[in-house]
Amino acid sequence: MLELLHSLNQIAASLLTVGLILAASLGIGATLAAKLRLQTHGLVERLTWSITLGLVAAGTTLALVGLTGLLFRPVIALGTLIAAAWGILLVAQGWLTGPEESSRECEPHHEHRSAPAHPPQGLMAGLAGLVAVVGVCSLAAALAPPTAGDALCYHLELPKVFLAEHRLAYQPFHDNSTFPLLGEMWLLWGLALEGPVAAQLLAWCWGWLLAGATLILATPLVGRNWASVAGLATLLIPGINNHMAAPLVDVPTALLTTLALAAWLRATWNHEGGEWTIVTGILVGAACGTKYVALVWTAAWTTVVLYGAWRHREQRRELLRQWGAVLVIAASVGGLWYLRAAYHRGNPVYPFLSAWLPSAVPAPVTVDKTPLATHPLALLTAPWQVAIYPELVGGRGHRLGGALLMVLPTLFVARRLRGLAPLAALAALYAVGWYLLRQNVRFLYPIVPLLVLAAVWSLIELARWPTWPRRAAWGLLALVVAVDAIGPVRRAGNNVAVACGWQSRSDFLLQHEPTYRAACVANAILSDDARILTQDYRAFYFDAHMTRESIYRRATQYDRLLRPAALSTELRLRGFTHLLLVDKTGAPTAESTTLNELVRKAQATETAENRRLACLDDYHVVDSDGVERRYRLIELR
Amino acid sequence: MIAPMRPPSPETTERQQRLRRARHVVAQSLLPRPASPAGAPQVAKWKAVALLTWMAVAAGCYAARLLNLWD
Repeated sequence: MLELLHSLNQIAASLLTVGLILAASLGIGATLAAKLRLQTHGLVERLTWSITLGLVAAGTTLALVGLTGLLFRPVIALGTLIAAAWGILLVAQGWLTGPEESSRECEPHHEHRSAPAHPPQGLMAGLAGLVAVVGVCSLAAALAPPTAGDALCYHLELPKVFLAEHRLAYQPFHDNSTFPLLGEMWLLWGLALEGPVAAQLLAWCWGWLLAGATLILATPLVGRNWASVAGLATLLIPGINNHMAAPLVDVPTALLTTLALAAWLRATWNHEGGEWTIVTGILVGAACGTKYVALVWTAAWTTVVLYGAWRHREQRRELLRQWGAVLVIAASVGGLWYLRAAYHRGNPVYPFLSAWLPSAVPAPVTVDKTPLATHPLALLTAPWQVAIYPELVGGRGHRLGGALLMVLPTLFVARRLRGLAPLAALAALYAVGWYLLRQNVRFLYPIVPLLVLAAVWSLIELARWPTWPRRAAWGLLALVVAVDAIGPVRRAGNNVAVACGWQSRSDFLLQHEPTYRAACVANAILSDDARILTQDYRAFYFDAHMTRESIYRRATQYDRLLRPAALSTELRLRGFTHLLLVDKTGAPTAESTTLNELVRKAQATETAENRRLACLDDYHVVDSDGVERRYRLIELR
Repeated sequence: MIAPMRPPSPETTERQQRLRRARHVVAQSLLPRPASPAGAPQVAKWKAVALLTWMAVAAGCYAARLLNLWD
């Protein structure tokens, strides 16, 4: 009973923390929007703009505080409480109701409306029902402690280290430590106030914000009602709702690029002021400060703007001035991450371009991450491959689903929707960049709202189909979307006990996270100055300082310099106190076993009386990917 | 969003007026507009059936892959 109460207390604390963070973001963002005199209409729009701008401002502030070495929990908590109180005060004063809504804002910019103002009966109800199921199931999954690999490797691991050291500490043997880390600053916020579950719940909120951003982007093109369909449909993309239960930064990158695009369209269409140009710059900078893929997005956007300037000769100067202003503001907002990387690595985009910009720690060997071929037939069939074989390009968990593949070709018989062409061009250019550089399906998320918007226009145009093909098309679509919604339900099934408090978070992690048992042992018996040389990158649950063995080896070539018989002594001289070894059986790709071999040779030379490598824990785990892992925590004596 | 051009206020300078006109023209040329009014012609049946066939094949293959019925 006490354990249940403790679990419920933890859940309430996590939810309250996220509520405080959202209120604080709202307070900051609403003030920023008021200062910029942004005209926003409708509750969803106001919440999306304000919270996102607030998150950007707060994340950038946390980064600056981290650079000055003042990253203390009490400082963050005090700042959050003040901002949250301001946000709550704004809401109490009627901020949510806002100014009287202009009906014109909610209509598409059509002189003659080409689509019915209201989607077919049942569509909204069906979508809302599915989104409710997906939302609740994703929430249940998000309430479980994080187990996503990348999150434990760096999205949460780096903020944990920054908080422990009270600054944005540079870690030479951590390739990700000089990445753009604005998204990680938001996770750090959740970690500082409560813990990893609060940070993960922020990811759940990002999904809803992305839906709001899609609605904002789609409203001027297809009207509010169909834009709501686009917003809801975004949440039904399997990869998006999967990411709502994992603290990764792909969805916030998509959120920032989508809102940047919406702001740019307003800056272009609204001939009264430059406030939306400023917002575009802030959001482009924030996106580039969150993930490198936003640089590709910015290049695609730049191409679209320059093409527009070339086409519209008389307005060229105005468009170019707008574009220049956006880039300058973006560099001011997102540039600090690139300056930080340049300062530490001598390369602002480390580990990319390392052939031209070498750093003290050599970059990893370039691995080709473009599994799809580049001949014309492969290009033509790429959408099919990405949708049907997501395992080739990042995994099923990140997939885009089947509905987009089914619907988008129907654009061939759709009428032209003015305003869609530049967005489609941007999506196509980004997709080409994605295809040539990094074929991971989750890196396509920045264009998902654009694809969804195009798909919604296709759905509108279904009204022009003959009756029975139209009904059959709707039926097929409903079937595929419903099948895709089973994923979140299944995921929630594994997590419902811990989400409701029936299972403790520790028990859940012992069942689901392979490194957790070793972390528990290490945290219980190791001192604060312990340093572990680890083969597993998932270091989040360890309190000790963790050094990635493969990167340490790449930088120092220690394996060639030391004698196996004196392994323990020589590693201790290098500052390490323990080793975390992982032997994998059945892994799809071969991984280095250098340290395992060194340990094996060293142990072969040891006698029982003179043991220098003492095994503190030794266990086997079969992970969800079917790979058997043997973990050994070894003390160097 | 797009609003009709308002008459300039007395204090608006010539340069500001030019700027506003330029922005308005850009806005007019970029704003969304349908290709044809409501009541547009129906899509030809053969085109609709062809696209429906595509949708059925895509849905079938996707579901089969998702349910591990086909590798």
